[in-house]
Amino acid sequence: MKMQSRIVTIILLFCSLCIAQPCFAHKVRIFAWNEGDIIHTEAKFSGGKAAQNATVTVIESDTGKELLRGKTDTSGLFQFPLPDTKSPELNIVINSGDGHKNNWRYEITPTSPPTTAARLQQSVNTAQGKPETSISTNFSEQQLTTLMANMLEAKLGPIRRQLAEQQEREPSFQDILGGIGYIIGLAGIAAYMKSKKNEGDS
Amino acid sequence: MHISEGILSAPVLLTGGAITVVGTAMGLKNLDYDRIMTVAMFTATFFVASLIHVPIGPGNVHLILGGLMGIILGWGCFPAILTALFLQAIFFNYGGVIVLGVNTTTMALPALLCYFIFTPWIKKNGTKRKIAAFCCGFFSILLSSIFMAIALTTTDQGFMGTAKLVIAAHLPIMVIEGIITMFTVAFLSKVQPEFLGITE
Repeated sequence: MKMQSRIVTIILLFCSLCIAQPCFAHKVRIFAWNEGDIIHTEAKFSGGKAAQNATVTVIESDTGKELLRGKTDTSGLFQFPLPDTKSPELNIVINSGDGHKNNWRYEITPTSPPTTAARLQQSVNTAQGKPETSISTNFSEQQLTTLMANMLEAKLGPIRRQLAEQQEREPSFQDILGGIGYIIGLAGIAAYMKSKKNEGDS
Repeated sequence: MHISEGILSAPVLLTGGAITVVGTAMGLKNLDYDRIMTVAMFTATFFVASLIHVPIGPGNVHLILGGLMGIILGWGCFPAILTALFLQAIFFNYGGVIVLGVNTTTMALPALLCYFIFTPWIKKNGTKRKIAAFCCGFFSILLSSIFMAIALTTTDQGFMGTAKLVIAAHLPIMVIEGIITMFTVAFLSKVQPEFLGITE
């Protein structure tokens, strides 16, 4: 009977560890990338779960002035147009409301000619304005550049996202072993101190 | 459970720090030579347990094992949790060095309270011990959530908002920790009763 309950205990403990896959626990993180003039942000709890309904605040790094704020959607995404600012860097802060907060420094890089949707529409409209001529001759160099830049931005978006996502380092096996090593070392120091004290007493 | 840096106000940080200093001093004073290895072992367990994440409920929660540490270490849970949190802050960026005091308090104080409340029952045999162990695991997390909500009272969400959010997120982990604590205590009482201070 005693043996049986012991086996059951071990199995249950093991099962509970199996359900709970090792993962990188409760910390919120945010990363941002741009597609044209739109800055996308994605917020996640480390562990991969999207941070829903979390407050995102965009702050000018130079002045600390709050530019805009919003909430993430169900997949942890939040988009905003590139704000009109002179600051070379934006500080994007995420606060999930339960004591978790993090930030992402977004550097504003001078992008290729402004490629807003309006401008694209304009170039398409001009193209459609003269249907009798072939489209290829109808595009001016400027319009072609705009179109190509737009397409490139759309294609680069996912790559930028991936790059941004990878900048955060998750705890590795070495970190864990290192931490345990420290703990054993500290225990050694504590034991040494206590033994010295005991010697002094006797 | 780890509160990030830059959220709490100075008075909250100082209060947390003061409680941690007192608790750690008491813990180190009461630490016997023979118990050092036990404390270190549970520090390591706590350090690693937070990497085991439980994919249930609205949030993303991890094991804490505060109740178990409370039962076994008593006052020793303060230095143990402080050390583990410090290493987590450095290695994994959980929490932070400035909020270390508050984070230690939210996790170690409930563990200590559970130790004082439930130890008499742990020393008894049979069902009472099991119930006490379950309660220890369960209530240590519940109290931790409440302490966390108190610490976050001054933020935008206020006490009730945060409390609801945090307690809802940690409900599954309360039950899981209760069960784990119950089985671990049952197991230890058979194999290593001196760990629990039981003399049979």
